[in-house]
Amino acid sequence: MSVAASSRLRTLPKPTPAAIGAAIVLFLAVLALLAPYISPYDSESMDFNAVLSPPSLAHLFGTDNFGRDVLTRALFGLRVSLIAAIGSVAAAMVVGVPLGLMAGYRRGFVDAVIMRPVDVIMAFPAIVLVVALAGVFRQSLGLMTLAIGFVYFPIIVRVMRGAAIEVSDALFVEGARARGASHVRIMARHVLPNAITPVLVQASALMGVAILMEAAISFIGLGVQPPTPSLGLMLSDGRSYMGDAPWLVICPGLGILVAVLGFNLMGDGLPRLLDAANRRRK
Amino acid sequence: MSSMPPDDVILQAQGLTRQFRSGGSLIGGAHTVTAVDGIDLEIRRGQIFAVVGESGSGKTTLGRMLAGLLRPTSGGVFYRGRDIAALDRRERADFRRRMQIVFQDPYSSLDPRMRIGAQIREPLDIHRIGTPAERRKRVDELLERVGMAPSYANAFPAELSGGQRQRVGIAMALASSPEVIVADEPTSALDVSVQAQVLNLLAELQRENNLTIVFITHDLGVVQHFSDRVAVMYLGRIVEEMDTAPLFADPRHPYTRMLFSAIPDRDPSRAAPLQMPTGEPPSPLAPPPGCTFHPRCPVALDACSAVQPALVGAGNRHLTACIRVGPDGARAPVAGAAPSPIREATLSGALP
Amino acid sequence: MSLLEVDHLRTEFETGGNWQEAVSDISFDLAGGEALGLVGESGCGKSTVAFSLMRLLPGNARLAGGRIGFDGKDLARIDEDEMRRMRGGRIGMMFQNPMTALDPAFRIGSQIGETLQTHFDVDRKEARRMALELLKSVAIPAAEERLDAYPHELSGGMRQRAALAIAIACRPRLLIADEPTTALDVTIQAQILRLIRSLLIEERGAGVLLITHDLGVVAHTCDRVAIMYAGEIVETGTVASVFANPLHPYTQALLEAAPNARTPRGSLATIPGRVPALGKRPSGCRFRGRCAFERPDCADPAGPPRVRLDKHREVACVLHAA
Repeated sequence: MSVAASSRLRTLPKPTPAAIGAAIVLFLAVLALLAPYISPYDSESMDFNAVLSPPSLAHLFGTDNFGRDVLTRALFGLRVSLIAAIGSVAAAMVVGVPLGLMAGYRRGFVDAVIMRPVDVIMAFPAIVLVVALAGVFRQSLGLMTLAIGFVYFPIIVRVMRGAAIEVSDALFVEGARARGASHVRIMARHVLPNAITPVLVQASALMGVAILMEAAISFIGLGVQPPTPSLGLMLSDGRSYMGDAPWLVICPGLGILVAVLGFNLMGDGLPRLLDAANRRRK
Repeated sequence: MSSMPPDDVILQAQGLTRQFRSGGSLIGGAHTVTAVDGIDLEIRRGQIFAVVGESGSGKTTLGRMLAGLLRPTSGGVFYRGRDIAALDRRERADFRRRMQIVFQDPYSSLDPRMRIGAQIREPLDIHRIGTPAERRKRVDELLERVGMAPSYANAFPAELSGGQRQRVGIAMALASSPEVIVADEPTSALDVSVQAQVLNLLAELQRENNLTIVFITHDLGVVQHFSDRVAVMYLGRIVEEMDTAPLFADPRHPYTRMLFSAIPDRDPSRAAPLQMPTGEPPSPLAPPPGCTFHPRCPVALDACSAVQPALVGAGNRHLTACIRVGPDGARAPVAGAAPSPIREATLSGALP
Repeated sequence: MSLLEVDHLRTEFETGGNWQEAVSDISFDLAGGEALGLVGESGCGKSTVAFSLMRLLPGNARLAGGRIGFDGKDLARIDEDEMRRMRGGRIGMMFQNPMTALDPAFRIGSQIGETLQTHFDVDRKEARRMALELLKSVAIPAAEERLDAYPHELSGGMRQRAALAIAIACRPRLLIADEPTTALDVTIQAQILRLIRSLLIEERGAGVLLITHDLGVVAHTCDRVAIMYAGEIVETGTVASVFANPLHPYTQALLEAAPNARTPRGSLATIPGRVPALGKRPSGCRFRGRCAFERPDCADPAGPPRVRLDKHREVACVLHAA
């Protein structure tokens, strides 16, 4: 390599954890999106000649007890997991951010009215809540996603509220009031942008948790129903065959691991990224 | 808005009081702190009115109430004769346009995530002044008026120095063409040379627009240079009030005298201060009875702990709240020393 | 013999991979029984000088050269253990925020006592008695009760008095005070400055290095003054002579910029431009580009000549070269 080229390489920015995390998530999302096009087989086609066969050239991750290609099912299962993860957190944010903003900025009565029910919801262990809602969302990925969102939106409210309280004390908020800004304007234009960072960090971490939650729900049989694949369901089904056919759990397990890792890395690096973006403009 | 009361009094405080509750829990024990205690003030249009005091004096709380940012516990603030607590929505918006505030801390008074231009433009957006194109132009004009290049409109606060941020704060206050500006320690966080620039700027703007400025500060040098009239505050009350030059020539209240003599003098040839300040300002949680200054006062009498002196001036514009100051202003002599020519050297320009 | 002799002190800061000189060629001396004020605006490096003398520089800074003569030793070269014994012992320190010296978790009395026990061979009871005396000497009212108070129970002024008590507990020969009264009310400031003067200069003949941006504080409390700009000392002299007759254009501008009753509103003298950032200082005289008296030879890369007019009067400016 020439001196110029190698020195150019040396000055390439080092990938930050956030960038790596985002890349992972993006990669998985693309995989999930393109699942119907890139998967070698149909997710439901069974090949009884190749039941429980180990990884081979034909089946990169082997087949399950119905002769279905594990890789294919994992790719479709990834769809379910990502939809559950991103969808639930998005739902939690849509409800949680405005509530937390109002509670943290207005304080007093509004704060109490919002936070008491939120505290009650938060008092329930997540699994218990989800099981209780199981009757509602059985068979429906959409409703399951909303249910997971419901379990976690109090956390978003809490974090948003805490950050909003701090920002609302700043002089520039008082200044905006002095200039005649309405409460809505202040909340939307001043408090929210300055308080959103910890919420986004929390949200990325929650996406990882939501994937695990979906896996857990499906594992105990309350999530999506067969034959729809989900990573959690695959883990559950594969459990019985783990001794003889470990590939049944390795593939979905790996998928969950990589997804959670990606979300967490993204969340960890987010604060530095967001602050640098604002400060670096010289 | 109704017409102004006579004498061109644009801003008035009547019996203005503000209390805070601090502490307090399930077990009880909440304390009430009286930060501002029954203040009466009249500020005239075009006047630069300084409010001076040390920490715990209540000057910041007073400023916030005058600007309409804090509701008084009792008493009222009157703008152009109207009680600002009784304004309807339209009048309130109008009030917000005409009354502005500049803060002390240039580092938290600007939104770190918004560009400078957007922040200066905000009051115009809120009050829908002009077309969007006209607003952009006004932002550029305002930046230039405060001595900054219009290109700064795209910058973020983190890129600016303290002095520049303070100037942006002034530009933001000017955007809606206010009549009154409450400036809360606007130059305290700045270096001397930067402070000079900002003070000159404020002076120019005041002259051009006949602005009324309520200038809250603890810096007596700035007060002497910049203001027309001064109110000295101690523990929530005004203890002395007078036009600037006469006040510095003839401070009457013992606290004012103690305060003035405590300023380290830049003329090293002058002898040590006549009255070494004693003690500490009392905690607002436990104000002394009677005259709140009496425990530290070099000329206190027994009577001083019994009754709180009223702020009086006997028809003259020099108001003092001290039973030892006669109606003609005759001061109680300080034990053992001749009356000092405090600050006369300053006035005559004998500084190096 | 001077108490403190600083020769050609240089300190560097690391920014973005490069080491840049923050403080250049600082030389001054301080005699016992004398207060020297180190004055300048923000960014001039005065606090850096103080931290360099105390060897308390942050991780991204280092002493790059020079000699700090104190007590027969070179503070720039002694090892860390010896330096630690110096701090709080022969050298007392006071900072702008008294909480730098006070641990919020311990009572005042025990903190002073701890310092005393470290440096003197006394038991707890004796240390407590000495601590009480110290608190009284810094005029803390109700000293006996305050011994058992926690820092958060005291006002800012009292905390600073307590910090002063700790600073003088071991009878230092030198007190380095970095903006000790900046955060205090004017009336409290006056009292603390008086205490510093009486306890150290008058009673013990110790030396005081007072770092501040407030010219009034210097004029009132110090005997001599050194004016700093952009990492260099531009003028030194007795307080009387510098204030009565400032020689360096920056000193003149600084004195004229301070608001006073004499100057009409709107006409305060200002200094054009801004203090140059660390990497952007002009070559030659660092005040170039802002000086009303600039001449072509101000650009000389060797820098302005240090002109000594008198035993204690020095200015770094071509205008005064012989």
